[in-house]
Amino acid sequence: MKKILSLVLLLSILATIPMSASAAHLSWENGATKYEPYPETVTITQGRTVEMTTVPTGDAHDNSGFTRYIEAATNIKLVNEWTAANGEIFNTRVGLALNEKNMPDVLNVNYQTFAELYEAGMIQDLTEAYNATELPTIKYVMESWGDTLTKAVSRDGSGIWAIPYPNTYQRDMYWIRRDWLEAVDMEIPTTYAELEAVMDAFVNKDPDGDGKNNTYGISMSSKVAGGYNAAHHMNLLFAYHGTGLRYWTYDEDGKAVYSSVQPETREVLAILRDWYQKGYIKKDFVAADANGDVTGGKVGIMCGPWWMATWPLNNGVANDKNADWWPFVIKNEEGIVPVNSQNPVNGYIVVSKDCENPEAVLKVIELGIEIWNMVDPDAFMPYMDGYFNEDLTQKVGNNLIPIMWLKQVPFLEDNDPLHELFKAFDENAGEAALEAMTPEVKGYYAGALKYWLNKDNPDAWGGNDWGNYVGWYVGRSLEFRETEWYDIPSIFHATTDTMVARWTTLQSMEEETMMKVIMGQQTLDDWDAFVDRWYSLGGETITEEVNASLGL
Amino acid sequence: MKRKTYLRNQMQYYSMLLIPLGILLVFDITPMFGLVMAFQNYKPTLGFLGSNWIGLGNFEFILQLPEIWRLAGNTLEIAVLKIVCDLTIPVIFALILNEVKNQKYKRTVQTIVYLPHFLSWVILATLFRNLLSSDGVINQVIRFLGGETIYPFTDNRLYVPFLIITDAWKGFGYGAIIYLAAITGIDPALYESAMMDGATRIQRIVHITIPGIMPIIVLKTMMSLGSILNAGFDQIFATYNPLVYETGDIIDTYIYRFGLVQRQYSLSAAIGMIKSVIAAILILISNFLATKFSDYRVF
Repeated sequence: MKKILSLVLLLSILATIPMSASAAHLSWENGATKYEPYPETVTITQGRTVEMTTVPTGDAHDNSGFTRYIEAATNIKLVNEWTAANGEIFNTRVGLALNEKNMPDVLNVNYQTFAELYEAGMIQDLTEAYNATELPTIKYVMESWGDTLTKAVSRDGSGIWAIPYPNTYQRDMYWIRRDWLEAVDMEIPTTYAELEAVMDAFVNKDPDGDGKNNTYGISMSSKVAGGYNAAHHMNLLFAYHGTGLRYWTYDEDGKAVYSSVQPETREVLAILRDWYQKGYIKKDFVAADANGDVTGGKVGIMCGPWWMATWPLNNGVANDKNADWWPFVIKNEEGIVPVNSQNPVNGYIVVSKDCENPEAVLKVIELGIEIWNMVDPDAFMPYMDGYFNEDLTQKVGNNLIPIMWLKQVPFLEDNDPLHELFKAFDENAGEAALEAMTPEVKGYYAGALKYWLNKDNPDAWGGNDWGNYVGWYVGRSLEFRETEWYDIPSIFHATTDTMVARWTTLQSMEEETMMKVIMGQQTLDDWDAFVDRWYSLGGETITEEVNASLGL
Repeated sequence: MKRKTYLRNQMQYYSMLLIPLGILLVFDITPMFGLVMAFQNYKPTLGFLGSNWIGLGNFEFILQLPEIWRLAGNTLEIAVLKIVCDLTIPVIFALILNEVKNQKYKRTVQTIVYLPHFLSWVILATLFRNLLSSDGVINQVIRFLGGETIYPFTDNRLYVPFLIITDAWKGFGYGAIIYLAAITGIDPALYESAMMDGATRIQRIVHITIPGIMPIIVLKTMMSLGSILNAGFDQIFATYNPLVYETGDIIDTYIYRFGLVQRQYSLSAAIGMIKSVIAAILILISNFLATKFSDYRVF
C-alpha cells in the first residue's frame, strides 16, 4: 500500500497543472535570482521530515550543497531545529510545538495546523515580504492559479499567511476493455445510454467467451464515489449530473452547499440502484476486491485517472495480454466533460511570528526550486559535488531541497517531462528520441516504446511497458490535450464547530443509507427521509457556518 | 535486629522491583495525569494549563450522541459473546488435546492452531474477504449444495456471528497454551490413584483436571471482564462497512471516525476513562465474588 501511495504521490507531483493558464510568464533563462547578501548571517530554523532520503557522505539536510550555495550567495544559514523520520512523528512534534508555543521559523503544515497556528497568533503575515522581494517562480505559480491560491492562504479576508503547496489535477476517465467490445460487437460508448447498453452486453453476452455467466459491467469502490485521484470511484457519473459525493460546492445562487444531499445526487443514486439491480455492478461490491476483478478479467469498465494504466491495469494486462484496456470520456451536450475537483492546496509553509527575516525564508524557497532545476549551472555546480549528473539531472532525492516546496513548475514546458514524451510519440521519433531525453522520461518512454514497436508480439513486452504507453501517452493525452473539462469547484476543506459535534453521525447515516438504497434494501423515499434528517440533525447549521466562514 | 536482617536478605529482590516500578511510573502512572483532558476542551495550542475546563461536558456530549445506545449495545453484545467463546473454547480444546496420547501429533496440532494468533487482522480480513466473497470458495460450496449465496460482510444478521467465529478461530489455539501449561502442573499421582479406584476418563477430567485448572479459569475470567468494553477494534475496523453499522459499529470504531474529523483529544480521553472505570469496577466485583464463592483470589 505504501508503495502504491508513494507512486501516486510521485505521479501527482509530476502532473501539476494549474486550473487556468494565465498571462503570467516565467523565464529561467537569466539564471538564478540574485539577492544582496545580508551583512550579518541570518539564521533560519526549521522543523521538517527527513524521510526516505540518501544524503551524500558527510552532508546533512541542513548542511548540503543546497544550503552551502545559499549561505555563500545570500548569507542565510539554515538550521534544522528538529527533524522527524516520518509524517506521523512530524505531526507529534508540531503538536508539541503548538503546546509549548515554541515553533521554529519555518514549518510545512496541513490546513488544520495552519488554522490553529493562525488562531494562536504564532505565525506572521508574509504580505510585506512577499511584495518587496524578487520571487519569480513563487509569484508565477501563485498567479497562474488565478486567485485560488491567494484566497486559500488569506485569513479573515486578507494577508498571505503561508506559501501554499498547490495540489495537482488528476481527472477521472473511464477505462474499457476493447477486446470485450469486439467480442460483443460494440463501439466505445459516447453517451450514457450507450454505456448502459455495453454494460448490459458485458453482463449477459459472455464477453470473455468462457461460456459462464461470470462477468459484470463496471467496478465500483465500496465508497461509491467522492474520492479524488482514486480508482473505481463513480465520480464521472455524479459530475455528469452536476454533483458529487461528500464535498462542498456552489449552488446556482453562489452559496455553499453540501453535494451529497442535493437533488442531483438522488438522481444518480436512482441510476446506480438500477445498474445494481440489473447486475452491472457487483452484488457484493461493498466487500469485493475491485482491483482483483479488474486484473482478473471479471469486469469490463472502470473509472479512474490516467495512471490506472500504470496500476492496477498493467497487472491485468500482464495476466492476460488480450486485455485491451483503453481510456475514454463521455461528454455532455456542450462537448464538455464535467469532473469533480479537490482542495487546491496540499500544504502550507508558515513562518513564525518571531522570525525577524521572513523575506529570507521566501528567498530560500525560491532558490531551492531554482537549484533543483539547475537554472544556473555555472553558479550552482561548484557546490553540488555528488548532487547532479553531468547532464544536469539530479542524483539525490528532492527531500534535500532546503525548504521543500514544488519540484517542478507547472506549464514550464522545457521542464515538463510530459512534453518530451508527447513530442516523441507525436512525431513518431522512435528510438532516436531516447538519446536526448532526461533520465526520468527516458524510463517511461523506453517502456512505452517497447510496447509500441512490438504490439503484435505479446511476448516482447510486459504489463508495465503497456502501462507506460497507455498511461503516460494515451491517458495523459486524453486528460491534458484532447478533453475540455469543467472542474466542479470544491470550496471548503475545514471543520466548523457544529461539524466537530455532528459530522461523524451525519457521515455514518449518509453512507449507510446510500448503500442500502443502491443495493435495494431501502427506497429512494428513505433517501429523502435521510436528507431531511441530515438537515435537522445539524446539516442546516453546518451549511450556515460554512457559508459564513467562506464569507458567502 | 530481626527486621534489619529481613531487609538485608530481601534487599536484592526489592531492588530488582525498582526497574518495573520505574517503568510503571513513567509509562502508566504519569500519563494518567493526561486524564484532566477528559474534563477540558483541550487544545494543543493552549496546553493543559490553558485549555478551558468544561467539567463533565465531554461525558454529557458522549451520552447525547444519537447513536450512543446502539454503539454501547453493539459493543457489549460483541464483547460478551467473544469473552464467552474466549473462555470456553480454549478450555475445551486444551482438555481434548491433553487426552491425545501421541506426543508428536499433539505438538503438531498445537503449533498449527496457535499460528493464526500471530496474523494481524488486516491480513486476515483480506483472506476472509476472498473466502467469503460471492464467488469465493465458501459460497461456491454453498451454491453447489443448493444453498443461497451468503454475504456476511454486508448482512447485518451474519456480520456478528462472522466476527465471533473468526475471532474464536484466531484465538483459541493461543488461549489454550495457558491451560495446557496448567494441566501439566497437576500432580500425576492424582490421576494414578483415580485410575486405581476405577475412575473413567470423563470422571478424571471432571474431578481432577477441571478443578486443577480452576484457578487459571477464574483468573482468566476476571481479566477478560476488564475488556468487557473492548469488542476488538482491529477486527471490526478491518472488516466493517456502512452496511453493517447497525450491528457492527462499536464505540471504538465510532470514536475513530470521530477523530478523523478533528483531533479530539478530550473526547478520546473521556471515552477511555469511562471504559477504564467500568473495567476496574467489574474486576473488583469479580474478585470479590471469586473470593466469596470459590475461595480463589487474585488480590
